[in-house]
Formats: sequence, structure tokens, C-alpha cells
Amino acid sequence: METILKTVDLVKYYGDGENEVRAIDHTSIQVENGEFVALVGRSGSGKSTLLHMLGGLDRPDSGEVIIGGRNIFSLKDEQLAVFRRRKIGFIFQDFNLIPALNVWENIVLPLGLDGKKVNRDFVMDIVNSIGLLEKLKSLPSQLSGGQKQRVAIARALASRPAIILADEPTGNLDSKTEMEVISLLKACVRKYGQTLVMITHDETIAQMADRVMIIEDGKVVR
Amino acid sequence: MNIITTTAFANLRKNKSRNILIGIAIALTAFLLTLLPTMVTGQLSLQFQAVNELYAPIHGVYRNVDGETAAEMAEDDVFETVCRREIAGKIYTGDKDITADMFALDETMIELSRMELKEGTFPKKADEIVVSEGCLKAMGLEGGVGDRIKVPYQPVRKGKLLKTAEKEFTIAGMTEDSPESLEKGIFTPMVSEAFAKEIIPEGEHVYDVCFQLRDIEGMVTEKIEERISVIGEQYGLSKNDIKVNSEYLFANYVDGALYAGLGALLAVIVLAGILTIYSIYYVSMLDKVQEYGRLRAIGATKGQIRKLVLREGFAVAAIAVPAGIVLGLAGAILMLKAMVSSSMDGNRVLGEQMKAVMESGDASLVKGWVILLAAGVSLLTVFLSLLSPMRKASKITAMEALRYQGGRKGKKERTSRKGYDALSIPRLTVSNLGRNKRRTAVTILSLGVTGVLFVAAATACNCMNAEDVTRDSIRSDILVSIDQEEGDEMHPEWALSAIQQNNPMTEELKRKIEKIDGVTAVKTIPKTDGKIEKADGEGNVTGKEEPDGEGNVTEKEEPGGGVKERTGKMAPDEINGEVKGLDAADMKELSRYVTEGSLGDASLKDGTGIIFQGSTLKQEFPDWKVGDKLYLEIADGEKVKGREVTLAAVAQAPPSLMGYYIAMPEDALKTMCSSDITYYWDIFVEKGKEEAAAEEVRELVSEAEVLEVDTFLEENELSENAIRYTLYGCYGLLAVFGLIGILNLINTMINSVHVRKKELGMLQVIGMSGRQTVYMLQLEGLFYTAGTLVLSLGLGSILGYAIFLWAKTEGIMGIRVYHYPAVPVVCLAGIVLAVQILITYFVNMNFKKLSLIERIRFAE
Repeated sequence: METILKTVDLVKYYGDGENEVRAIDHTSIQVENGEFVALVGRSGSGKSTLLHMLGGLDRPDSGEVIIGGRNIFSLKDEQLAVFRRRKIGFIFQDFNLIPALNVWENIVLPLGLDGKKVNRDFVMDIVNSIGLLEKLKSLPSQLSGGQKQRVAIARALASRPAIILADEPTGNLDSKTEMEVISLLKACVRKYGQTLVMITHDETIAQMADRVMIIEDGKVVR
Repeated sequence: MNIITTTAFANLRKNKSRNILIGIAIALTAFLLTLLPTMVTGQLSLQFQAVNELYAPIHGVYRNVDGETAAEMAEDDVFETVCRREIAGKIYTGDKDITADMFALDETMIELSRMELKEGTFPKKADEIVVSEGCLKAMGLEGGVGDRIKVPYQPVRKGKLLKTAEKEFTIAGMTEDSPESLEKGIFTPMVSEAFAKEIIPEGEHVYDVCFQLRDIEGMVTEKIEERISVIGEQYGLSKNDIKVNSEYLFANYVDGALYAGLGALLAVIVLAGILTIYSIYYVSMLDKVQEYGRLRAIGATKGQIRKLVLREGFAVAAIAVPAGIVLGLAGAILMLKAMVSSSMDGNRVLGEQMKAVMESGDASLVKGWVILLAAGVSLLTVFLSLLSPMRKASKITAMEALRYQGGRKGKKERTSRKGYDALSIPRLTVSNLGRNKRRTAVTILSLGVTGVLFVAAATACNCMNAEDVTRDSIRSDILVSIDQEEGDEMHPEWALSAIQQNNPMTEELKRKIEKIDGVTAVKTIPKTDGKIEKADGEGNVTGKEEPDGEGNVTEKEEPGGGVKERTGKMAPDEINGEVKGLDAADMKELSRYVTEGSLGDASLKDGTGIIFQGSTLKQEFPDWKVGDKLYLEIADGEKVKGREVTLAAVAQAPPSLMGYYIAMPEDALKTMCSSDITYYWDIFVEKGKEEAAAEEVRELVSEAEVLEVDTFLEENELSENAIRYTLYGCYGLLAVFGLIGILNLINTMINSVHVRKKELGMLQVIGMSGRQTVYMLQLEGLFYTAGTLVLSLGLGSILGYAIFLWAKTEGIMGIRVYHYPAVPVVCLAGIVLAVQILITYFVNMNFKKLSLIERIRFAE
């Protein structure tokens, strides 16, 4: 299988002296194309920092993140923004939908930012998959947590990114909804041939992944 | 310190940038509330002190009072003090440009007038005189105290100057010449009352009676003035003979109008302050909601939340208000110094005295009550601005706050929106602006209000135009006019009747002027003295008494014209107006100013109609109406011509066009007269050649003693000096409104980003580039800018025009012609745009300091 994403000796420290926190400490990982990887670790272990750097949201102190054969941190901020909206889809624990926009607009927003025409059939296919056909005109404030997260998933998928990065996407959901959302996410990723890297606390969810990476003190231990 | 105060202080530090902004707004309000009253009261203190050092402490003067009435007044209980002066004669120098009235003052008058002699004593004996060096020089004499001089003088008898006499005086004292008196050739030699008694027969004395009223402590100046008028009228004096010493009254008693004006100005500042501070709190309250909600969740009561908001607000005010007051005081003193040293007051002597008072430090410029008022009103402004945030913050429930996403509260929430199929940055902007329509509206409204005030103030500034004021008195570049002087027995040739019979404004002289380099046209305008009364419609004047003019009075009717003629001159006290003749072009221009009646009236066509100047008519003949039959008499050389006329129209026109009284078509006026009633030459000159041409005109007319020359440029300089003061005040106000508006705009922009930090971060996470972020923020800014400008220009222009109309009717500081404030408006638009663009960049740069991760975690 082809490696889509890898890190080389990635380092990110916060603070200095006695207060130094080694969030990511010389970490090198590899993710294959189409793989579903679960990142597991305790609170403060550095998994979120790692995920943010994989997505180019934060710059490392040293080391590289290579996506599609290219070190993303060699890009300038503006180029990185463009790279992000084309190659990576993000899903967060607290959904982060834009309150002023309705469900449809939230989903097609990344396409709009990229100046791309909306492929209506493709987006409607996603909407059907996530089961929100009735709610397209609704504003986020009218949705339940599970519905909001489904919109966030649809938004992440809409621009057909190669990689989806999810930061505890079910952290704010009840256990029934949690399983529904994860199943949906997994099914979609398979359907559209995408790679999924997801942070989770939940053992059951981790078990659904192709591979589980455990992080302790900024290092991948397994 | 209890927990609420501790939290308030913690908040103060946490919301540093917002509190700095609010601090600036509060400080600015306090600054203005200190600056303006300090400047006004400081200026007044200086002026009052100067007035009290310069002016006699008298409340008013009754002019032309005969000896008997003057004696009655001296006994009258309504007066605290009565003193008198009399012009006994006029020193005769033969030079028309020199005035040297010989004043005889009684002892009280000498004492009150604060006159100081350079040396010697005031005159007591009939042959004693006080003169100045300049006065002696004007007589062609030299001398000092104790010297005997022969003084040629004209005795004054009931306002008329008799033939020259000569008397030998001893110089009892010498006065100093002011630069002004030397420049203008006006001197005030003093003689004794004994001299006045000697040369003026008993019963023919005419006094100026100066007085102080009794029991007027605590009265406003308007009331005092009214009382002075009433008493004067009770003594049978005419309005023109009742003079109020307004400078002294203004300096020593409360002037209602002044304080009303100052109050209105302060009210506008307070309003602008409240709007700005309220709007800052309103806008920034949105991102505080969750914080207050959390406090509610852990058990804070509504009262505690209210206190928290209040204490945080007042903590900012505690720093900002004193800072604003100190800056305001410093600014006011600096500006007062600059104003006094550039002697901006129209009155030069007073200006000099004010400078001296300022330097001596005698007048207290810093007033305790101003500081207290500024502090009190600033704090009140803060409190009023805090009321709404306090209420809002305390109403938030914990659950509401945690769910709060900046939407509407209390009203039915929107559940869906139609939306767009595909999104772009402009569409995203529109969605954002539409999300909280009320907030968008409040922002535009609060920005717009200052904008409206700005445009209105700019209109006032722009209409306050020196040129318009000057055009009131002189329409052309050079004005040659007749300088008549009535009742001088030594110079009967200076009287208008004599001038009309031998008018130096000849065709020949006119042709010479026309040939001067640069002169493009010379327009002749006739004018003569007149008397206007109400007629009964049959050619008789209602209640008319026999004319008391001199000479043989015969009346004869001219065949056909309806013009009656009598020989003899019109006595000076008969004249109650003047009549100006207008040619067709001037009549056409006058039609723009007609307020009642019409210039198309048949009476104007057949030469029996007149047009009255509106303000004069209102003041002197308030009962007269258009269509009334009047009887007009005009001076025509050695004759007086009279005819019945119709009041055809009333116009509120510049005096340079129609004069102060009556105008009628030139031909009709000329037909009534047989002498040459040419009075003015309006001379028009090519641009740049005015001064040289004026020089040549002066040279040409110098032979004729009775002609004087005025130029537009010189008059305009005087007008500029007169309005400069008010204009600066107006521009000051303009700057204030501009500053408040910009502050408000900055706050709005910063807050709109601050509140949505997380949202913007989120947009960037999903791929919005920095450039797109700036573009979106700029679009939002543009929307606010456009909204503000539409509101400011629309409402501001209307308000400005209303102010113009009001000022024009009230005759306030030279406002005559409407000028749209195009330059300030373009500047406003430019500055607002520039500020908006700069802020967007600044905010974006500041924003970049945070990593994306920090931004999207902002709310946590």
C-alpha cells in the first residue's frame, strides 16, 4: 500500500525550563492510503497536538509532515490554507459549524472558499448518506448534537479530501449516537476511498479502526 | 475587597484591549466636557476681567437727554448712580477725517470711567482742557501741562455743529493716545462742565446720562436690558437713545442665552459620549455572555452580575475620567493662550487687555465647578451606558449562556434560512451581517449619529463664510460712495442736499475710473434719504404733523406725476429711512429674496410701488403689510418730494443689493428727483488687479472730500476676523464628532473580529486563506462604511440645511448662503474608508499572532 501521510522526527515543545511540556517528542509515524487509524492516549499525551500538525494547523519546532510526498511545512501560510482545503477534512468534538449558515451552506462552504463549483449530485449523495435531507435549510442552532456532527462530517467529505482528521468526534455525543456517527464516518470514508485519522478515548471505537496508535508523553509507543 | 470587586478587577485585566477602547471613549468624553466649558468660561473670565478693567461699571446710557430730564433722573430711586457727559463742541481741524469731540464729564462720570491721565488733572475751570499729543498734533500744536493753547472749535447745539469759534485753554492734563485713535484720527479731548455751561445756553443742553440700576443683583442680563428699556421709555426716550452697556452686563451678570447655548453643546457631547460608550459595551457584551453565564451557573445572583459589570465599568472610568479632565484642562489653557495671543477678539483694545490679564494670571481659568461637572457628567454617561449591559448580563441564565452563539435573545429565534446554493466570500459576508440584524443596525445607527452630527456641523462651518458676510455690504471689488455729514455749519457742503446739487460723482469721473487698468464695469446706483409714513389712501398722512424742517415750506402738486413738492430740506430728525434705486438686473436679483408680495406688482411698474427690507420692517413698522398705502418723502437737493406709494413687496435681501430700508425701480426714483442722486459706484475689477485699481480710484476721488472708497478685500479681512472665532469653535466641534465616530468605528471593527475569533479560526481551518479573511472583513467594513455614509450624508445634509435655514433667519455669524460641505464630506468618507482598511489589516495581523489552534479554542 502507498504511504499517504508520514511524519519525520516531529518535535513540538511548549514553555521552557521547568515548565517545558514535550507535547510531541521526536515522533515518526506512517499512515497508508485508505487506512483508518485510531490515535489513543491519555489526556495531555500529545495526541491532539499531533493531529493538528498532521493537518497543518500548527507548525512543529522541527521535523516534517509529509503528505503526498511533500513536506507541508515548506508551504507558506496562504499555500497551506489552500492545501488544507483541498487535501484535508477536519472534524472536531464541538462541531464548529458556522451559526449564520444553514446546513447546506455549511457543507458546501469549503468548496466556496476554494472557488470550486458545487457538484450537486456528489454533495446530495453525502447528504443522503448522513440522513439530513430534511434539514438542509435548518440553522445549526436547530440541530441535535448528533445531527451537528453529521453536518461536520459531510462538510469534511464535500471537497473530497484525501485525508480526514477527526479530533474526538463523538466526545459530545451520547453512546447510541456515538456508534451511529462512527459507523457513518467509517462507511463514508470507505465509500469515497479516503484515509481517516481519528483521536478517541473510547476503546470500542478504537477497536473499529484498522490500526490503533497509542501515544504517551508525546511519543508513539505502539 | 470582596469577590465581586476582585472578579471585576480580574476582568479588567483580561479584557484589556476592550477596556482600553472604552477608556479612550470615556476619557474623550471627559476631555470634551472639560475642554469646552473651560475654554468658554476661561475666555469669559479673561474677557470679564478685561472688561471690568477697561469699561466703566455702568449698566447703560440714555442718549440725547435734556437738562431737565437729566436732573429728574439724578433724583430717581430706580438708579443707584447717575452721572452724565455732554459733547460741548468739536475741535475744528478742517480735516474731515479727524474727530475730536470735546467731552464735558461730571465728577462721578470721571470716577466711573476709569480714565487715567498721563499727567496733570481733569479740567475744572471753564478754560481748562485735557488733550493728547495726537490731538495737539492734529490741531498743528505742541504743548504740555500748564501751557496755554488756542483751540479752534465748533460749538455743538442739539446735534448740529455751529460756526467755528476759538478759545484759549490751559492744558490741565494729558492723556495717552491709543494706536487705534492715532490710526483712525479719533481723539477725546476733555473740557469742564463750566465750559459747557458757558457756551451752551440754559435749556439747550443734551446729555448722555450713564447709570447703574438699583436692586438688580442676581438678574439675568436679558431682564436687566428689558428694565433699562422700560425706564428709558418712561422718560420718553426713543429706542435709538437707549443703550445698554452689554459688555459690562455680560461680564457681571448671568446671561441666559450663553448658558443655554453652552448647555446645548454639552448635551450633544454627552449624547455622543453615551452613544459611543453604549455601543462599545453593546458590541462587546456578546462575547462576555458565556462568561457571565458561567458565573450564574456557579451561583452568582443577578444582583452580583449587575455589580460586576458596573464595577468593571467604573474601574475603567476611575482611570479614564481624571485623565480626560487633566488633558481637557491642559488643552483648554493651551488653546486659550493661543487664542489670546493671536488676539482673535474683534475688539483690539479688549484683546490687548485680555492678553495682559492672562499674563498677570489674575483671572482663574480653571473652575472647580467645571471639573465637578465634567466628572459628574462623565460618570453619569458611563452609568447610563452600563444600564443596558447590566440588565442584559443579569438576565442571562446559565443554560442560555452556554448555548449562546450570538443570536437574538428573547425573541423568536430563526430556525432556518433559504441560503445560497454555492458560497463565496461576499455571500458569506452577507450571511454574517444578516445573522444579527439588530447588532448591525445598532452599529450603523451609532456610527451614523456621529456622522449626521459631523455633516450638520460641517454645513454650519461651511456656510459661515466671510465672503458672504462681506457681500452683504459690498458687492463689487471697489465701492465708491458718498460720505455725507449733516448739520455742520462750517461745512454745509457735506450735507446730502448740497451734494445732490453738486454731485462729484460725475460722468467724467466715472469715465476716468472705467479707463483704469483692470476695471471691467462701473455701475451707478442712486440713493437718497427719505421719510416713510402710513397714509390714509387719499394722499394724506395719518396723524401727520406740520414738517418742522427749515426754510419756506410750500407744497405744490406736480402736474400729472402725483408727486408733491415742497421747498426746503428734510430735517435730520425727520429722516427715518433711505431709498435705493434698482435697475432691471438688480430687480431681477432681488426677486430671489422676496418674502411677501411680488416684484410683478402693478404699482412697481407704474412707479408707485416700494419694496421694504424685511428685517427693518419687522423691527420698525411691525404693523405694516404688503398692499398698505404709505406716504414717502425723499430728499432731492433743496426740495423734498413726496408721493403716496404702495408697499408692493417685502424682501430679505443683502443690504449691498437693496439697502437697509426701501428700494424701488431706479427709473421711478429718478423721475421723482431733479437733482443728481447718484450715491454709489460699484466697480468691478479683473482678478489680481483689485489693489492697484483701488489705489488709482482713491487717487482719482481724493479731490472730492465727500467720497469714500471701500474695497472688497479690506472689508473681507474684517469679516474674516469677525467670524474666525466662531468658525474655530465650529471646526473644533467637527473634530470632536469625527473623533468620536472614528473611535466608534475602530471599536466596532475590532469587536466584530474579537467576538468571532473562534468562528474565523474555524473558517481558516477548513481552508479560508488569510487574504480571503481580510477580504471578508473589508467587505463587512465597507458595508458599515456605506451604511454610515448613507445615513450621515442623507440625514446630515437635511439637518445641516435645517441649521442653515435657522441660522440665516436668526442672522447668526455670517450665515447667509448655503454651501454644501463637499470637502469635509469627502474627507469624512476618505478617512472612514482609510480607517476601515487600516483596521482590517491591523486586526488581521494581530489575529495572526495566535495560532489557528488557539483561535479555535478561544471560547473554551
